[in-house]
Amino acid sequence: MSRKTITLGPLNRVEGDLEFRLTVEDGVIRDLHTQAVMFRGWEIILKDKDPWLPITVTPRACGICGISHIMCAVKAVDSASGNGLLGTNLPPQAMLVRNIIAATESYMSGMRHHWLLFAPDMCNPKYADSPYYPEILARLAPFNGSSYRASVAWSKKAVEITAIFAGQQPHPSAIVPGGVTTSPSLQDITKSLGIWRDVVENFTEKILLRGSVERYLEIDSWEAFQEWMGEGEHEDSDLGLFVKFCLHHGLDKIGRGVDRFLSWPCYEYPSGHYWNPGGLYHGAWRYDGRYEPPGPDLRAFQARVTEDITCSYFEGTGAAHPFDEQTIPIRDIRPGEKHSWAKAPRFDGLPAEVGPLARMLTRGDKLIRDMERKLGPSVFLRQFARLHEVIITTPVISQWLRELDPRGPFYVPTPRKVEDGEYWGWHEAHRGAVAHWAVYKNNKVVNYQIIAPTTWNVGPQDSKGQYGAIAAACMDCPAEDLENPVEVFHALRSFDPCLVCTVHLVEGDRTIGRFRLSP
Amino acid sequence: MAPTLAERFDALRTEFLAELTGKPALLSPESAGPLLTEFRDFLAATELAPEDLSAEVVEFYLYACAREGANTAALERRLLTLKAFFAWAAAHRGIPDLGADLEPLTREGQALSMLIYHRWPPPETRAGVFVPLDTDLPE
Repeated sequence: MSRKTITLGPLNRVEGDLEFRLTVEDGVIRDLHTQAVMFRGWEIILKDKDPWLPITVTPRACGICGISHIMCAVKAVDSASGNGLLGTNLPPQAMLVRNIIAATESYMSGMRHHWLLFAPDMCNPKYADSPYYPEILARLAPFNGSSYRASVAWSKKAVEITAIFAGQQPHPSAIVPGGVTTSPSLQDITKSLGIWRDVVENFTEKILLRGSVERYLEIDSWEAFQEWMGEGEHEDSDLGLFVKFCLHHGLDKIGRGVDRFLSWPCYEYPSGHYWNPGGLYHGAWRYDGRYEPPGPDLRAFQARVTEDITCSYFEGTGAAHPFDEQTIPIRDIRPGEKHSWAKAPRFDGLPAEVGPLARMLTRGDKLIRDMERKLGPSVFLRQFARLHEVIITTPVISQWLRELDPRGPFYVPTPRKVEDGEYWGWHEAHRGAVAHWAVYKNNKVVNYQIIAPTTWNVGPQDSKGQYGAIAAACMDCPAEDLENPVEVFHALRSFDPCLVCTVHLVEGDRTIGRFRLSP
Repeated sequence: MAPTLAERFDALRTEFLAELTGKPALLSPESAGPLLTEFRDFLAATELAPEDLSAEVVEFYLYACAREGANTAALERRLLTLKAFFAWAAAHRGIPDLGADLEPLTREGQALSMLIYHRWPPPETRAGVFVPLDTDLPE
């Protein structure tokens, strides 16, 4: 029997460092430590500050999905300012603008993740003998592939719409308690509709589908998808190529994960409904395919969240709800049980996967639920769900743009002082569920806790020894070639890990920078 | 009976297109004609009076095109054609230039717009007022 422990890293292609420590026996991964190797200190920065400060500060946590952070920070203040739970009393037009800003950013993230972060692994030399390799290289080779280059250009166009409504991208500040600061003109809306049509025609339909979005939306089962593949040029589309590649190389059989899928409600409609109602989905492959909606009492739903710090570089052990958590980093790091700067979020004490696959399952998407039931979760299904979401949101964003009315209103006056108490805001970043929990007292932040999507997926083991979703998925991969464990890379990157919310603030006893933040 | 807005526009449109005819370097009547006809039909549907024509009406027309699924290039072609038409109408018929404040959608559109305004009215010795809108814009 051969037993080997190796460290892989840095692993993620987007900012923020991630390492794996793998213990492999005879080509099988027996143990896997996910190690977020940078300290994340937002909670410490925000303590004792003005409750409105997180609105400005937390979107800077990320240059990719900063909008999801501002959404959470604002919703917490909305809830504490008489604007209804999570801002449900806001003007409908303000909700629409928020949705458009967030959804176009998410669309950009989806495109960039597939073509810039996931697809390069399909160009791995391991696949040199694949019948699809020449076409894969022609389209997906980093920097030179035709689709790679197109994805850069067209994802940039998509966020031009974000910038029209949010003033800038990244790090916009247009979402505020009470609504948005934007008051779009008719020309803004016209321009955005034109740009959106450009993106849909030139990328979604021409490259991703080689067919119409309208036809794709008719697909409601795995069999119907295969039928679609046989029509026209669909099979030769980027989606078709991805599917053929994955099935040929067995990516539908690896990277399963934890089979529990969580998402927060997101994209509010004035009617009080959400585009994604959120909730918990117990995978049909392993469990019973049971969907638990958040229910009318959203407070009770979020109360089921805890973060475990048994294996994290923080003082203490065990799990606590974010309202009750403290963030006290360990200064003297020594080898041992604690091995990551990420905490381990749990729902009902169990790990959960977040991301586009979770969203599609909780919103009851017929195709993805059918595929999960028939094929099981995998690298393939996780990434397929991401592309599927990119496609199915195109008409939704069009519809929101059409519903905009320049007469507004886009804002309701909101008091500058918040009510004391415990509040939270949540949203779905492209890569999954993100939420901020805030405790306010005397118009100050007493406690602030953020659980970002990758924290859910990449968190280390908890006090019960349960692995997080990424570790579980990667342990479901063969590891025969430790010089080039491409299957592990596929599994990891199918989650779109992003640890950019971490921040360098402390290096031993040396102060790297000193900031004074005043209201 | 006083002419409707659509009828009044139609008369100007015919005159404008006639002026374009036979001047190959100008915006061609073949490309401008259908777009101006479409705008005339839009005006007819609005049932506005001639005095109601304003820049906002033009803006709303472009918005309606976008809602119908026009992409940026299609919108820009309409916008620049109308800018050219109103620039001509302002120079020759003394009506306010309703296209002056309409902002083009692309860099190419900005450049073409500059050409429309900087080269109007056309010097007798210089050929061309408009660049061909149907060839320079990205599809």
